[in-house]
Amino acid sequence: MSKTSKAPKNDRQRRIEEARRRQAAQERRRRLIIGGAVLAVLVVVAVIGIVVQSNRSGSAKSTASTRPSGVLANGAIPMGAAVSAGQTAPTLDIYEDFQCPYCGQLEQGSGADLQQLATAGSVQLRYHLLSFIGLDSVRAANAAGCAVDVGAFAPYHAKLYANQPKENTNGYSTDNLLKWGAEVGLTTPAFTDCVRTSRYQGWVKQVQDQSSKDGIVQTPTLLLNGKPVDNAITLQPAQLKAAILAAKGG
Amino acid sequence: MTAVSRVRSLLPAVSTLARWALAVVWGYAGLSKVADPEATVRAVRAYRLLPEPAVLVMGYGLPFLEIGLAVLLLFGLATRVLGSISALLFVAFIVGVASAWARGLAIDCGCFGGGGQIDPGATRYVQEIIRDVGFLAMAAWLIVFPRSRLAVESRLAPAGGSGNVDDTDDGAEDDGAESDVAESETNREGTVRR
Repeated sequence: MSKTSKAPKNDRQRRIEEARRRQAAQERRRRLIIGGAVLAVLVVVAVIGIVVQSNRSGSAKSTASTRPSGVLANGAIPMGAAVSAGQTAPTLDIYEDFQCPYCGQLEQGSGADLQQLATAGSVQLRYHLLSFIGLDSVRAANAAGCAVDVGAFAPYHAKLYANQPKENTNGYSTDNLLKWGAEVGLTTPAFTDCVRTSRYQGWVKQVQDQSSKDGIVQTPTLLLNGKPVDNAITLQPAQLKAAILAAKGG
Repeated sequence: MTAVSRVRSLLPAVSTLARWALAVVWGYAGLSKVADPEATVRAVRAYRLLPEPAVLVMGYGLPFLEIGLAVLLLFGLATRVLGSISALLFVAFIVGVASAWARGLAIDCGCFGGGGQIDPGATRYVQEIIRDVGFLAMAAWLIVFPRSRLAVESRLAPAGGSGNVDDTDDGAEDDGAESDVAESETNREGTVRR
């Protein structure tokens, strides 16, 4: 524009300047129209996406009704002292993924202690089986749900961790999951069928979604009476046990 | 033809490459997310930056927005506008990843599907940020040099104009003091007609 602001020397130049100004204005208008149209298209596309996707995931949710027997409304597997009036046992929410190495460490260090405390009625455990690491996690969580149905969650849970494979190497294959089930006495057709057909896939998804909504951002995460347990304590069996015993029912 | 004008004559071709590269990036990003809205929502939520309703809007809408950007970039419509939107998004992604890193979260950016919490040892924040900075650079290029070859916008006749499309292939690089002024302006096409 600096050029056009200079005083034209003659008519011809003036006409040229004028024509050019007109053209520039036209050009600007054209660009505004295209730019506006493009913006409008993007907004419309995004809105359509929001509508389509929310309808889709709405229908996915309704199919998540098949759940292992006895799981809580939020999808967690309860174990140990039932929460009832006069009950003073604390609750311990355990968010874990069968593939997460630190969850394996937690199980190796504290698994037996936790079972013992739960059996003695000193704590109610609530297992939230997450599945964010990969398909192996999904299969393992589904199979663990199948074990819940036949009252064998605890031994199967321990068995899976004892055989924890490297992440996402197909270590929790259907065959392995069945084999390890058989090793803890899970040989019924119902269990086999449940593992093979991924019967609790919807529940596995629900648990994952719920934990995401609950703000769980890492595994293992322990909540003692709903309050996060310090990471430093989580993997220290003696300290963890002491913390549980010191906690009163919430 | 001076060296400067020779370099300048290459710019539209470089812009075309940047435009298509960004189209591929957005297309891949959008398509890898669009099939699993739940996972995308989880990925967005894992940043713990947005309230739940916004998480849903973002998780559902973003993949479509990305695909839309990809298609428009592919054809080359309002390239500067698209470059600006792209740049804004990349800046937002970089800020999001950096803030997740700074807050000690262990998440995958979910940039190309997947996402959400991951094993603390498996985070790749540095790579994710470097990659996004690279994408941001391409978007910035398009903001500075929006004119590109094989772009639909340069074939659309100026409104009310004579339908002149002679500079779509700006091979005849206008070498003159006046056109240099025109070059420095946003609106390049059409200005060389006289």
